[in-house]
Parts: sequence; C-alpha cells; structure tokens
Amino acid sequence: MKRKLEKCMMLSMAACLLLGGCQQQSGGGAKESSSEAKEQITITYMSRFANEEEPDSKYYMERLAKFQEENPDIKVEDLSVVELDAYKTKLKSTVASGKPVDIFTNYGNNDIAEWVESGVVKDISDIISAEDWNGPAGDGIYESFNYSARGIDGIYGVPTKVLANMLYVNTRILDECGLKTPETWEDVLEMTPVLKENGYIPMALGAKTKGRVCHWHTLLALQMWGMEFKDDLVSGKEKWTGDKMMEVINTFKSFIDQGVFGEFAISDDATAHEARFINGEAAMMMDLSVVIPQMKSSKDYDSIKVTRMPYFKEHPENKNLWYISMGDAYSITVDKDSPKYDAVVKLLKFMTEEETYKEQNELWKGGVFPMDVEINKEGTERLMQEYMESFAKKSGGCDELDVYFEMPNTQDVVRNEMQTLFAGREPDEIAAAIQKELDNYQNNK
Amino acid sequence: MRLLPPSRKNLIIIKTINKGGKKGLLKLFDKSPFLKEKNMSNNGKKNKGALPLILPAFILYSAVVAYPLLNMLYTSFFEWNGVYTTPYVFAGLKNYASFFQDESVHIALKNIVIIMVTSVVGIVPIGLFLASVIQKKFFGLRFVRVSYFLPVIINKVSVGLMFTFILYPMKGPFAQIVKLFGGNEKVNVLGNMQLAIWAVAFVLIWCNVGLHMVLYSSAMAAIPDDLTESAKLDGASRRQIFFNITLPLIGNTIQISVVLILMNAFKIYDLVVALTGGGPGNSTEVLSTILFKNAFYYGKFGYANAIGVITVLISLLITVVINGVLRACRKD
Repeated sequence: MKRKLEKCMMLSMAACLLLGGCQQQSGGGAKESSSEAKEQITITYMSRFANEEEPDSKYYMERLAKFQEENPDIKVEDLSVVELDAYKTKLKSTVASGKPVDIFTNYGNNDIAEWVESGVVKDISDIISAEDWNGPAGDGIYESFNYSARGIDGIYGVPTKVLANMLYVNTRILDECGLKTPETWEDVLEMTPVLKENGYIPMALGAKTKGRVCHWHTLLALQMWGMEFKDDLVSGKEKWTGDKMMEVINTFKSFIDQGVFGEFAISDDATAHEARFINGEAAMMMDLSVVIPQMKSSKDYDSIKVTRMPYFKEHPENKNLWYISMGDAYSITVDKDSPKYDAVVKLLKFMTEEETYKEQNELWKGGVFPMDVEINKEGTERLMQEYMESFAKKSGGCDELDVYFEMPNTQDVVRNEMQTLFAGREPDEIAAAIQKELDNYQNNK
Repeated sequence: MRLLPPSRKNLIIIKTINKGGKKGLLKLFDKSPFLKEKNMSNNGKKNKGALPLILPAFILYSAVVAYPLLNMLYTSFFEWNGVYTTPYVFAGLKNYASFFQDESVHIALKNIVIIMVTSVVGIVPIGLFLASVIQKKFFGLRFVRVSYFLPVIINKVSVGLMFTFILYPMKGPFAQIVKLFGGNEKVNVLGNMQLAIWAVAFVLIWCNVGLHMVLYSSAMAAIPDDLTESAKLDGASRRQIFFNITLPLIGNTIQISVVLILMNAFKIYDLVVALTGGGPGNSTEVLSTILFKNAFYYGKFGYANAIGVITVLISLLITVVINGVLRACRKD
C-alpha cells in the first residue's frame, strides 16, 4: 500500500513538472510575440458601480467593459466595491500605502479635500477646459470639486450624476383623505392629522440612515434662510447655536413632534422609507430621481406624481432652492509625466463624455445630468418628465451643509447629532454639541 | 510518561452530605489518573533541533501579527492623515491624551462595559443550563443542539437585519410579546438612546450562547460517570452534584469561556454596525466603530492607532485580571 502511494506521488510530481515546463515554454513564446505588439498599460479604477441589480451601476459597468474592448492597449484593473464603508476603507488604504487608485469616484467637498491639499488628487482644469473636452461644463457643475475657498486653485473631479431631492406624492391616498398636493409646509402640517387618522404616514423618512436626516435639515435651512445662510454658517458668521439655525432645528423638531414623519422614523432606513411609499403606507416622501424606476413596482404607480418640495409661506423667494449633490465624480491621481497619464485621461473622458449621458437618457427615458442633453420627450417616462420639468425651474441649491466645513469629521458629527432629534433629544443640546466640536477644531488648529 | 502517585492534594473532596444534616467528607476521588507529570519528556534537555522547525511559523507570525502591532504602536505617537505624501508629525502622548478627553470614547467605554457584563451574566448561566440539558438523551436532542448552535454561525450582518425587524415597534414580534404582557406595543428599543445598547448586548448573547453551550457540554462529557453515579447513590441531589462536582471540574473551561466572552464583547463591531450603525446619535458606539471612523472617515490614523494600542492593553488587562480572579475563586 505504501509503495503504491509512493508511486502515485512520484507520478503526480512528474506530471506537475511536465505541465509547468510546457506552460513556461508557451508563456515564453507568448512573451516573444507580445513584445512585438504595443505594450499594454495597466491602470487601476475604483467606483461604487459594482452591482448589476442597480440600473445606473450596470450602465457604468458596461461602459467600462466597452472602453476595454475599444482600447485593447489599456488594461483596467477594476477594484470597485458597492458598500460605502468598504469603499472608503479600500480607497483610503490604497492612498495610505502610497499606491492610490489611478481613477476613482467620490462626492467631492470634504470627501477628498485632504487628498487635494496633499497633492494626491490632481487638478484636471486643463483637461476640462481643452477644446476636445466633451463632458460636463457650466456654472455650478464643478462647485463641489473647487477648493478655492481653501486657497487651492483648480478643479478636482468630474461629476456623473446630479442628485436632487423631490417630493413624491401618492395622490390616491390624498384623494381618499380629501386632500390636495401640498404647496407649503403649512399645508403639510394641516394635512398631517388627517392622514394619521386614516392610518397613513404623512411623509416617509428613514431616519436610521443619518444622511437622509441631514438632507431634510439642509433643505429646511435653505428654504428658511436662502443660499447666503450656508455661506455665513461655513464662514462662522452664523453659529449653529445662533437664532437662525435654532429656528431651523426647532422647526424640524416640531415636524417630528407633530408626526409628519410617522412615529417610528428612527427605526426605518432609506430602503424602508422607499418601501413604505411604494407599498402605499406613506402619502409622500422626499427622495432622489434614481428611485423613479422603482415606482413602477407600486400598485399606485398611476397615482404617483413628482413635484418640488413644499416651501415656507413666509419665504416664497426660496421655494425653488433645492438640496442638490453632484455625485459619483471621477477624480485622478496620476501625474502628467506618468506613462499612465494618457490612458487615465482617456478613460476619464470616456466615462464622462456627452455620449454617456445621451445613452443614459435613452435607457431611462429622461433624466437630469450634469450637462445639457437633448431629450426626446416621446417615450420619456411620466414621472421622469415631471421631475425634469420641476428641476428646470430650480433657482439654486447646495449639498448637505456639513460638507462645506473645514473640519474633516463635520459630516459625521452633524449627522450623529441631528439623528438624535428623532430620539427625543432637545434642539439646543444638539446645536451646542455641534458648535462645540467646530470650536474645538478651530482652537486646536 | 509517568502518572503521579495518589496523594491528598490530588483528591477532590466532595462536601455537604445530606445525612442527618451532618457535614463531612463524602467521597475521596482520586484524580491522579488525569494529571500528567510536567517536564518528564527527554529528561529536561533542550531540543535544539526544534528551532528550524518553528522558524517558518515564527516568520509568518512576525509578519502578520508582530509587525502590524509594532507599527501600530509606533504610529500612535504621531499625527498622520493617511496620505502617503504627508509626513508623520511627532505628537508624543497627545493621541493618548485625546483618547481620555474624547467624549465619544467615554460613551464607547460605558457601552463596552455594559456589553461585557451583560454577556458574562447572560451567556455563562444560560450556556451551563443548556449544556446540562443536552447531556441527557431525549428525542430531538440533535435538533436542540443544532438550533442553539445555529446563531453562532449566522453572519452578524444578517443577525442585525433580522433583529431590526424583530424589535420593530408595533409590528415586530417583540412588540407583540410586550403587548401580550400588557405593555406598550409602541416600544422602540433600537430608537431609544438609553435602551439601544441593551438591545445590542442581548443580541450578542443570543449569537454566542450556543458556542459556550458546546464548550461546557464537552467539558461536562469528560467528567467520569462513576463520580456522579456514586454521588447519586450516596444521596446527593442534582443541585449538589452540579455545584459540587460538575462546576469545579469544568472550572478551567468556564475560565476560558469567560475570557472568550469578554474578548468577543470587547471587540464587537459588525453587530453594532448592522443593528444600529452606532446610533441613535452615537449612543451605541463602541471602541471598534470609533477606531474605524477615525481612521477611514476622519483620516486620523495616529489617533486611530492609539485607540488600537489602548484596546490591546485593555484586552490583556482583562485577560490577566479575569484569570487571576477565577483562579482565586477556584482555590477557595
């Protein structure tokens, strides 16, 4: 038995050696032929487009595959990850190790501020101002990727998405309760007791997802005090504990106390709040345009409409200010003198050129993009049309207020504190906690 | 290998006999067959040939464990934002001072203590009870054993999602049970800043009790049957057998189990993220989540490493203290 085993082992070792030798020989042959062909350049790419279940993710994955087909001399090593925490961890690890990803997606502002300051992320202003640039251009598009307030010139990212919150309304529920689509927040407060009596959540909100809470906070602040308030807050002219901000937070708290978001908003995350609206449990919700395709799964689809968010009667001048974020922007880390530079820029242009948005426009039958795209209204999905019509009337907007601050963890601090509004904490405590963190940062700078 | 000769110190003395209320020695059990003499192999000579054999493992250990730990210790004395172009800036003990001044750390430490104490108080008695139940043969034993062990192998993220539903106010099973007992079905455990951490602790107990049930069960199975049988013949009750025979004999296992429970509770991360995300606010933050945020959200790698070093030191301290306390209890 032992001898048989030894014989088997000898034979398998011989087979391995033989196969290894053959492979080396063929590998050597391949090397000889490839050296004659153009040298292939490998670049690294990272995004959150890695989930084929999500339509926009799938689109960008296919777009990347198309780039590789059309450019066999460029090999793209795709390191994409869907989940945000995992994405941030992986991305930061590559930067810390000294080998940052050549081209990656981000949300600008504080997301990459330190990397811009350290010179890791490169200025692409000469790329986007060149004559052959075919991607997004125009006022406001690059605001989140402009760090001139920090004394740094240049543009550091090209956005691929415009994320803007709109009001989704289930008119069947409103009709059932004898109500109309609200124009103002005062209308919403009047409707709330009626909707609650009939067993509906007036406005779905997944407060477990902290970001959604801050989208609301930002929207209310803009609608109360306008765009100047954001600048004054960031510059320190206005404080979180000041009268204006306290009025914003107190108003938000009063909405919660009056049941505008239902009783258990703190237990729902963003997915749950969308589900509540789609299932007909909530009369309204604030959400991005990316959820429009999901509305088709609702039995109330024909009764759902999309419109701009309500406004305050006292401040009609701010009614067309929106919460807007430029999302999933591409940034690069490759120097101009690097042999990979041309390949990386080629990929950047390919993923952000006009054709990208035209194709998406055809796929989704409409949309809001970071550049003007000729839209064929025939065939545009109804909700998307309503969305685009409302969006066209916007007068301005900004991202979450917390992303504009210099302190790196402002967003986390504000999101953590704001969420506690839904857990019964008092507005003045929340404001004081946020202001304290900001003051500590300034004092220790 | 020679066995030690029987002597008084090798004997287990079983106390408390129910014979007319008199206390005294019931039985002397010779545990010498279970003891091995130390250092009896190769007559105490050092084996030089072992060194080359352990070298690969040592190199691997150094690369994977020792080097990262030492690097973490080194970086903890510097400020660094995680960008390779940014030099390390020597900060001395500033990161450690920040640790003790950081309010979120105070909350995290309080949460860790709650989780650790609750875990020990919950897992040990329940695990012992379940282990004694599965020692008996009955119909469905295998099903019971598998059922209680299943939570151990379920992914913590899935567990978090599952309990989000279970603890959902009004609609979740927990709310219905509370309503059944006359309570308020609108109770929102995960949305309450005071209660959320207790929910995390409870879920952690649920996840881990099966593992410790198996540990205790294995230790109990190693107790010789003749010991318990002779105790029964001499009139000892089940309670007496459990507390005077079983528990002392599985003392080592309980010690290991407590250390494992405390370490597991101390380094909890995935369950917190899945169940509460550290919220509401930061009421369920733990050291792992704070370390992660400081490193990968705020870019404070030096401070994050300081948290890591302190975490290691606290873990070592807990292990030493617990081992000492339990050893002292067993000697008593």
